[in-house]
Amino acid sequence: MDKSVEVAIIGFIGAFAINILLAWFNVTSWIQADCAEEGPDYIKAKLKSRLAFLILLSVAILFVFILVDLFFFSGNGMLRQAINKAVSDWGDEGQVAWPLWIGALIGLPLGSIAGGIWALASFRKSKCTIPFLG
Amino acid sequence: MNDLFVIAAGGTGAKVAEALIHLLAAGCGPKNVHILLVDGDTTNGNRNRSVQTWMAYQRLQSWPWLVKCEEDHGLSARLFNTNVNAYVLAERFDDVNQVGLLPQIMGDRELEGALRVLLNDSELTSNLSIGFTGRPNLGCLVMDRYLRLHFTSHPQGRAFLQALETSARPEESNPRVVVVGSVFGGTGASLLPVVHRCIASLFEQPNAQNQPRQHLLAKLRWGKVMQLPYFRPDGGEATEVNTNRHLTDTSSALWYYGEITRGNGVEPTYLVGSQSPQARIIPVAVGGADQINPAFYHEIVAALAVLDFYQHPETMDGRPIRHFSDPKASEQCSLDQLPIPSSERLVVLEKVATLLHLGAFWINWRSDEAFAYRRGLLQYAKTASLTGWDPRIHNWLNTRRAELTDQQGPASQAVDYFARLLLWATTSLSTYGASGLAFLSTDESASSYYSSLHNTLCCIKRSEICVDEADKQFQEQNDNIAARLCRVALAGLVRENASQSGKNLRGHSFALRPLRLVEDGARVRIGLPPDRIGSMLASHGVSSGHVNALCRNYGLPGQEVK
Repeated sequence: MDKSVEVAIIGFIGAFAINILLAWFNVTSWIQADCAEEGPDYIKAKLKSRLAFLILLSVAILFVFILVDLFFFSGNGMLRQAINKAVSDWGDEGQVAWPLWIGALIGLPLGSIAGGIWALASFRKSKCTIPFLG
Repeated sequence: MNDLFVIAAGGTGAKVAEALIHLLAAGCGPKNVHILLVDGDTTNGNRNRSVQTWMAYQRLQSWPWLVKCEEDHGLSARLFNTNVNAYVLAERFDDVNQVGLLPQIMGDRELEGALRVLLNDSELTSNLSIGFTGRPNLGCLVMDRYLRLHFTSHPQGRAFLQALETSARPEESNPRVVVVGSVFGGTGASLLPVVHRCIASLFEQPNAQNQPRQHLLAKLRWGKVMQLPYFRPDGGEATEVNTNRHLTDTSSALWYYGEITRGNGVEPTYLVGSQSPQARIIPVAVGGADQINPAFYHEIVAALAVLDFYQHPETMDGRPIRHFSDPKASEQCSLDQLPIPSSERLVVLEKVATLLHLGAFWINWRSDEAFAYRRGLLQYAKTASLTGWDPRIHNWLNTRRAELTDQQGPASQAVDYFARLLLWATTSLSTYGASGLAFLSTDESASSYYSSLHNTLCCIKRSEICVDEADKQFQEQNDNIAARLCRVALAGLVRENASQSGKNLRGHSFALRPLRLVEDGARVRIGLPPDRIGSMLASHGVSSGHVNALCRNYGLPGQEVK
């Protein structure tokens, strides 16, 4: 497999795993705190914007990571060192790990959505399954 | 199961009947109850209110009300479990006494002389168009004739007697017959000593089909609930009702009852009175539609006495008089002082509390942009496009949502009954010195009092609320959307209350406090501010005129809406 694809998959899995947990925790806390006094109409109305906010926040953080990687670490970089250890001899020195970031970028929204669904599914016996069922 | 027959005399008897109907709605009572309301005042406001309460009860009683928690927690509940038949005998006493007593006895100088010792000229010539107005001495002379006439000729009187006869015919049946009335007024005091004898003499004759029924008399179990003075009409001195004579009249009446029953054995008798009737001062009204008094705590006590007699119809240790009072203690009209046997106390209180919470949860209305779960159930069901409930319940709601806004539909019928219940409970359990029913303050009303219950409703399965006695699912055509919503709420209330013991039966783990139906065994705290009932009814489409009339009927003019 092409090393770029390998790294992209690593980025995807990492971002997905982190964001699924982040979204699950966030949505669960939100439902426990705010939605205990609200019906599913409220959850349905607010859930999309909440997930979108989560995705945007993650992308923003990712963007900061890219910038940090680009301007501080990519030359003799910390991130590159880590990647090289993981996948042996991928990439050229001084090159930004673009496949990693692209994989992470794809993994972020999918992880957020999956985390949201997971959180709602954990409230299966209460009001929160209905937004998807309509 | 034996049937219960209640003969409620006059305005006080009617108010006790009203309290009894609400207790029956809570599920306290036998399967069949027959209530005969006797009054010579054809427009008496107290009786009209009781009849309207009965009609509101009847509309809801036909609905299925059983819920059983599916997960075998042993939880079940049922409201409106009693078939209540009401018979109204509201014919003017002057029909049997059109010209007053004096013209009828003018030829009998000895009798006239004797009656002049007991009655004044006004009493001798009164045609009794609005009852006996606190003159039982006059009423007793007329009541026996009045009852005989109407038990044989009036459709309602005959129907009541027929029901009593039919109930007594099965071999194992021992119908309970309780006579309820005030001793200090007119109609009740006049009826109490004569009605048993009157019915007995009618039963000694064969019925309309010429069947003998004398043998049924021995199967009847008779009891009395006598209301002693427990409120005080203000300003009666200038009218035909002299409240200053209440205590004297009561004393005389009780002495008289004792004399006429001496040697004959006294049937179980409950005396319900107050040490401080002055704590309940109401404007005097001498009969008619204006005589519509607030509901009082003592009427609940009397209704409980009726139910106590139903369970214990025999005299206890040869002591027929059952006296729930400590004359040394100051009077406490509180929920925890209701004379209920300790083994049943919490059960009865929780049943009543369940009904009150259901009523409050049903009519609660938030006009602001409040959290959805701070709305009442009916408002929520009308407005929520997603409910979170069992999909089969939710889908049924979606197909029948229009019924919720039908002003003649079942939802409005529930609003009508619950409004009467809450207004009745407000006066009898939280005003005039009574306590036990508490409300949220206006500030607290913005809180999430029923939010946990709302979340619990999402865990109620259709199979829990569409079940019959044989644990089979019943036919949907027997159901309506308001009934189904009420049962969902009822199941939720049962789960909420059962979750107090530590085991979470709510089906959710939101950090909301589970609802406690009865707090500290002494207080029912419902999720409404006390002054908002009227405006909430108006929000549900009840006309302001009707809301205001309702509030005035219960002596709560402060709740009226513009």
